Amino acid sequence: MLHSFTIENFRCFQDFVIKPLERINLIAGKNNVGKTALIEGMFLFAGATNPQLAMSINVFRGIEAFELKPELLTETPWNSLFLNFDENKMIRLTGIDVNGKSKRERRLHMKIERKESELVMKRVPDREKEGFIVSELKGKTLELTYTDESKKVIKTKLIIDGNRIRVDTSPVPVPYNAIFIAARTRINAAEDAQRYSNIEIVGQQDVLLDILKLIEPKLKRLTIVVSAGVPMIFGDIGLDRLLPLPIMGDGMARVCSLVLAIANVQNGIVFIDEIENGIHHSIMEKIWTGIAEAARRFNTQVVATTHSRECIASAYSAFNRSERYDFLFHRLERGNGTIEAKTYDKETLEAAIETGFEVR
Amino acid sequence: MEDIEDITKHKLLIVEGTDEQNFFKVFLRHLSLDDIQVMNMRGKSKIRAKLRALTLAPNFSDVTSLGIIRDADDDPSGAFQSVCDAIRGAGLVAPRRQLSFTRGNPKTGIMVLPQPGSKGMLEDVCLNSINDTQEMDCIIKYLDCIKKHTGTLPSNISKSKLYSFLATKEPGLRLGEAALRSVWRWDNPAFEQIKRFLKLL
Repeated sequence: MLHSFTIENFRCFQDFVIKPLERINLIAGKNNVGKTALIEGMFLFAGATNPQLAMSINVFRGIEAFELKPELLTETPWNSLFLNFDENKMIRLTGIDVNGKSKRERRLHMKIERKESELVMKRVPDREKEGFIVSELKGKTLELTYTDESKKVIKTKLIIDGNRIRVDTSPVPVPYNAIFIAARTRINAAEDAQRYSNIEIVGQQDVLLDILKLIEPKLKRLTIVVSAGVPMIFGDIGLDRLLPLPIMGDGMARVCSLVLAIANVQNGIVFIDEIENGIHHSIMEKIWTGIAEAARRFNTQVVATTHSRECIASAYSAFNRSERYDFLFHRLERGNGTIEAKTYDKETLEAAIETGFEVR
Repeated sequence: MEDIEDITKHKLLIVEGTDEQNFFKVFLRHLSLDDIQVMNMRGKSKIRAKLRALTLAPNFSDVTSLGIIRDADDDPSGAFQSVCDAIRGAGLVAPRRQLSFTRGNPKTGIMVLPQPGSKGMLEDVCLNSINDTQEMDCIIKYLDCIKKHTGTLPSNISKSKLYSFLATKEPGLRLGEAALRSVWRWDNPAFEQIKRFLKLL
């Protein structure tokens, strides 16, 4: 479980630290303060040996295609990862986890590798009177260097090769199994069915059932039904037929999806952007209770973002009633050109909610 | 969901409740101190956590001056110490004595009512400001009459006098509402010390 996380030169962060982190973490802050960027950075770090994640996080933001233009040397699919689009600065992501008395530090560094010998020089005769020279993007490489807790170094690369991107990696485990649930992602019934099957194989499906019963007490069992060739989770609420989970309400489908993500990355991390999406505030507290139970059961860490004060208050309320307050609220604030994380412990968050002081 | 209070000014005056908040808003308007925002701590309890929450709130980094006014009740020095402890607990520099401000950023100052070293509360300050009124003569006679015929008086005689006075304006009127209705004569010497504190903010 990550205990602290440091970012340098990634997206909007020049030099940023968030510490301490708990099992469940909720991040708030004004628009464009870097909430999504923070969990993207953590997601990249969690999967540090998988360079394709550097592309995936742009897809989560809706940038699903990138045109590789050899004449545009400044444009790469990953320049938006760098602070101020400046690829000359190295991105440094550092995570520390604490296990008892031992601390483990892991680092992911990302930089653009530009070896002159790899650049292809090409004459283009018709553009100017005397023609001019351009450098093709071939060889422009995003190099990821992961250093694990024993200082072992693993290098991976994304290489622009003509009009395609080549991945140079070897099959090594990622530091943390992780799932990123993007704000704009719709619930994928087939993916959830697959994740349900994964936990059913190891006999953990009742954990999900128990948590969903918090929202729908009539729920008796869950099962996978293939409908129109697509597997989907159906539930039995005592009617004379099974119902697809989304028909029982958006809240049911959403919490099911979140719990399945948590259960599928045992000992890992789930990142959830705008967790309140699709959930009515009246059931938010129950959903937090469900998330907490699942996270403890599967030893999964959760880092979520929100814009909603009701979501923050519900989280406080759920954890305050819970057996353990393994939750921290962090507010990101921009000031003097830097971004800071303001971390609220239990008493401070309670006081902020009671007094009505702004926390977003 | 409660009303959300955002920091909108560089100078903050922290008070105990909604009634005090209304009272001081009117007082500050009378003094033309429009650059001070009055914030409500919603009670005396958990002041340490509440101040910490305030320092973590958006825009607190723009705050240059922080004044805290609270009632002494039965323990004037304890009240001052508890606010000092809360200020330090929030990572700020606390003043050494009342009615003066530190040089920190933000600078901080504390006033315990009715005045440094005295037991009591804001009601006592207001009561002092109306002691010489015709209504108060009548109220004293009224309470004497009650005592003569029943043999008892309310435990908090100051409050009884004050709210009897306010009832002559409108039944159930509270301090802040009375301020909004221009009941208090801000030029009365009873308000002088508070006035000096607010001007230092």
